[in-house]
Amino acid sequence: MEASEDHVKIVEELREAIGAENVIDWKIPRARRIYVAIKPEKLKEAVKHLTERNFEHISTISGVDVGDGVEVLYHLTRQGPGRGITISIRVKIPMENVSLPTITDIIPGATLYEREVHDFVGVVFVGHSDLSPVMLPDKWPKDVYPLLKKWKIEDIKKRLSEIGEN
Amino acid sequence: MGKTEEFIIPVGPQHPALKEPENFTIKVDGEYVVDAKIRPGYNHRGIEKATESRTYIQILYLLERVCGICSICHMTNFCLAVEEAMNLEVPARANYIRTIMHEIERLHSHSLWLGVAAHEIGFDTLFYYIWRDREVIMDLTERISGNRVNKAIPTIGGVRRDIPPELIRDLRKGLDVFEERIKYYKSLILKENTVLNRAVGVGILTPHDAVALAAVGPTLRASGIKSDVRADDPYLVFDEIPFNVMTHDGCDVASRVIVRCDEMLESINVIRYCLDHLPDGPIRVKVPVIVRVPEAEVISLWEAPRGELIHYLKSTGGTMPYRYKIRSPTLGNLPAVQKMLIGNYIADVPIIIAAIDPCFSCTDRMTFVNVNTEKSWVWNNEQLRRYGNKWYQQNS
Amino acid sequence: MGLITWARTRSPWLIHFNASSCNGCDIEVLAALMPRFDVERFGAILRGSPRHADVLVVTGSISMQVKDRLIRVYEQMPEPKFVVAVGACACGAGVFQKCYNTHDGVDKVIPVDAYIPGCAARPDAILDGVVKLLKKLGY
Repeated sequence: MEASEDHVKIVEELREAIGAENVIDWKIPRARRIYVAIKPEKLKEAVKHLTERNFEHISTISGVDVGDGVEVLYHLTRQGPGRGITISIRVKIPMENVSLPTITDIIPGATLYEREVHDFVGVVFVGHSDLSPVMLPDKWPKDVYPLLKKWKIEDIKKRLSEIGEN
Repeated sequence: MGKTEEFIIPVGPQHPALKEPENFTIKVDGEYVVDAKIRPGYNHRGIEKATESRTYIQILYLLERVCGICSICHMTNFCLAVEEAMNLEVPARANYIRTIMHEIERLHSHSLWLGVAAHEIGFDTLFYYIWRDREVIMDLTERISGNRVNKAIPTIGGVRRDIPPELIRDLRKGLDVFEERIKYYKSLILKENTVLNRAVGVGILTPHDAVALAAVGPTLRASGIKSDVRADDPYLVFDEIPFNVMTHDGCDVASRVIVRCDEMLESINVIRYCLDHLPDGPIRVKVPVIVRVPEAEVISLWEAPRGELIHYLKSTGGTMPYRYKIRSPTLGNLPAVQKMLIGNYIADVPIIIAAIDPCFSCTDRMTFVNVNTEKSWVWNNEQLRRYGNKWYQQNS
Repeated sequence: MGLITWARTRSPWLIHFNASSCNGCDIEVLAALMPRFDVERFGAILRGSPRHADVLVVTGSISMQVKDRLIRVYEQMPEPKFVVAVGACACGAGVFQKCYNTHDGVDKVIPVDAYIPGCAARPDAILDGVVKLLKKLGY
């Protein structure tokens, strides 16, 4: 699966749109997959630019605890027979300030994905209309973000039995 | 402010047709829905966290059970992700067999759904007929894989079982029978007033909304958007197979029914093509007993019966993944469902929700709030369905 | 008396509850109703309300969110009542052991009278289990 120059052009246009200094890193591991790491301040601009270049579909948003911070990946997909490409915009935010602006004003369909990332790694999406739990139960202790590496499953279960569940 | 009365009707599980429990809060003005809020998560088991402390083979069997209806989808998508990370070349015969099982699963899932949808609009006879015919597919699945549900055919490096010649012959015969039945049901649905009344013009989702709300699968294609992961981002052998993306422009529940019937007929064609062109050769490559995946980041997209499925694997080397993320298609369709409910009758709520083929039950309980009187009441699905069917009988 | 006559004179009414199941066992419970397996010839019908049921059929590994509902459904059933745990998850967590939001079997939440293993449990096994339970209790 060879990547075509189409992919490089997409990255170059993105760099031009948000400023080359704001693109930290990028890679094209195979055809139809692009990963671009950008500075968090340019997130909304990048998403807006991509939605105007046919990357209108948001497949999902992944939150990953990478030790010294949280990495949030926005997987945007260009759809259409023979035209599919998934570009993953990577932003890294520090543990002391896990917050990002919401993109639901650009892509309303991102609403549940942002809530899910909030549930699991605690990212606060500023401007989101309702960050209530979407996956976790209502009675879940609010300080436990299960997908952070510091929470082992045994510790989570212990915490749940402390509040009378399990 | 107005008086608020709450009528809590004792919760009873809904009809066993429905799957995971759910909760909806629906605001109504008279007979119309003015707002809807969905609260998923009743089925959350903590699978993503579990993958971080399991080996890859253990994860294979864990992911099979993310959803019992589309188990092949999650398993094979996982295998594709791991194989890409390991740079493993899977034999051609294995990929063809995987494709055959993939499409057989689509047949079982769509026919399951068609029966359930018929039940939702009170057409129980059709429900029973379709599920009787679905047993043809279940029998074939069992003969190929050893089980009706949870087939465990794919494995890292290929597939576990081959399809011998006599089974291929029976598979073709079974598909012929099933195809006749699906064609019959499709023509019936397009002529039967009971169905058309409940499905045409109901649950409209405009193409613009379908894209903005990130809808996937038949829900997206029933609004005319030509997008299918098998064509957009081909995996397995879909770049070699001639295959059509089925769309329909109606944007309503009837369109979603038609798209799924068409997809079933197209799946049968795909399976036939695969059987005609099944290459010889081994069905798997040897993979070490303890699977180690090098440092890699892989995104695997897949067209499950319900829509686009995405898996994201992050490996830092070793026998367990660093992070494994799964987004099932139903989550992608929930914002669209909320939009679709607005402006429709209460009586339409069950079929609109069912039309996205939710991989959760159409609710264990629904809370209704009348915005004018602020009266609220709780119905279980059985009550809502009975209300809907009676309402349509009286108002058609 | 023969099995069919026995079943017809007893007529157990079943209620099905999905407690965070992957749906595998649920579609097999439903398949048990369908023309191929047809549980109704044994007099068993699936009802919609716990107040009318004798046997509670539970699937799934019981997340925190459904636990209270399961208990409530059980409490609403009139005596004598019986619980059947269908599937590996309901019998003992199945593959979901050591997950943070599951219980190790239905019997950790409500008392269980019969266990039907399988992943997913076949419709024939489900029928067999329910009928065996009722015969054993001389119901």
